Amino acid sequence: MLAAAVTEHLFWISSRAAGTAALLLSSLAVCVGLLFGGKLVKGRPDLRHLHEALSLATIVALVVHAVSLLGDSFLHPSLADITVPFVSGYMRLWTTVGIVAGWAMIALGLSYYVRDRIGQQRWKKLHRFTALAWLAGLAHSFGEGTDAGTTWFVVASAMVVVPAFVLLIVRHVGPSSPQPARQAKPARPVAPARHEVQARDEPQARHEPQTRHEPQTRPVAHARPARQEIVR
Amino acid sequence: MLSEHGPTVLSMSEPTPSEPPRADRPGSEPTLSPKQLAQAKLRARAARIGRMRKRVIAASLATFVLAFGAIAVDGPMGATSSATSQTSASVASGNSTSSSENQTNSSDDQTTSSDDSSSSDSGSSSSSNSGSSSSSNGSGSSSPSTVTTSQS
Repeated sequence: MLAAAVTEHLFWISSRAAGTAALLLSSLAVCVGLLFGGKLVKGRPDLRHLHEALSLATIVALVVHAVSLLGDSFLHPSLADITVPFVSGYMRLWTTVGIVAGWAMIALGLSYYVRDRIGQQRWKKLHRFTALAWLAGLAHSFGEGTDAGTTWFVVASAMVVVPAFVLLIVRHVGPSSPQPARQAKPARPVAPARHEVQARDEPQARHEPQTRHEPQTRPVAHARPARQEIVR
Repeated sequence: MLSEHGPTVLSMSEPTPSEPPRADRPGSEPTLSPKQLAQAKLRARAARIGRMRKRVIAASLATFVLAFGAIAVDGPMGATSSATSQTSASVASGNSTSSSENQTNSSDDQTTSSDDSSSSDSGSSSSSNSGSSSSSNGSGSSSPSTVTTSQS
């Protein structure tokens, strides 16, 4: 009887199982990412690879979650229903939230491999939106998920979602350490121009003696003390 | 991809001034050159990362299989179907209980009427009536027959 039910609803059950796996794996990936990204765990360089592996596994589970729905004989969605927001008529809001979250997770996860083109700082800012995508996926799971009311799903989700929530709160509420390090970076090439403007406005506030004649085209290294003076 | 951020062989093979050359020690165990040492470290790191990836894949598959099993046991409609089936089951059992109670009452009435006709032990039949009315399940329906049997 069980085998007959599983055979009849194979795609439907597979989609739900893949969605559950995607939720658990993405929560674990968020946990690991927040652990090593927030400098909460030091001396473990393998965490980055663990985060990467968990993210790739999440993407695979998301694809299985969506594609296996295509084979469901009862819901029978089209390709547009599972990929384009606001197309599906089945619980349109939660389905749209899930589609947007899925696309965001896939795009933000795979953007890691083109971060050199995007730029490291810009990619880091972009990568923070992964937490939003994870939250949207969580809302989709509990808003639309067929198993959202079952005990095993709630317990399994709580085991990984609660730590991720706590780490997310710690990361955003706690002191942010990367800010001072960003200010301590060497000056940009525009620094000499600002320094020259500062020198023209305040000729008495120089470290160098007034009698020293400086060249018009000043090297960048010479402009650093003035840059720090401006920051201070 | 993996070796982008890790120490390269070239950077690791550069001899540092603090390390004396190990080849000069004749009594020690056979040592590796810095290049071989770096390659061994890289190999160990790659093997460690490979093991970790295999574990993640295994954990993902295990999660999928466990979730599949739990869903298959729960039923294809999940919590909704189980709640609905429980509700329908309880409604059905409630109907059957009420019908059995009705039957019990009717049989009790019949028993009472027969008791009235025989005009003996009416007290015992009324006590059996109260007992059957207090028990809401179907087990109370056996008491009238018992009474009937004792009366007969």
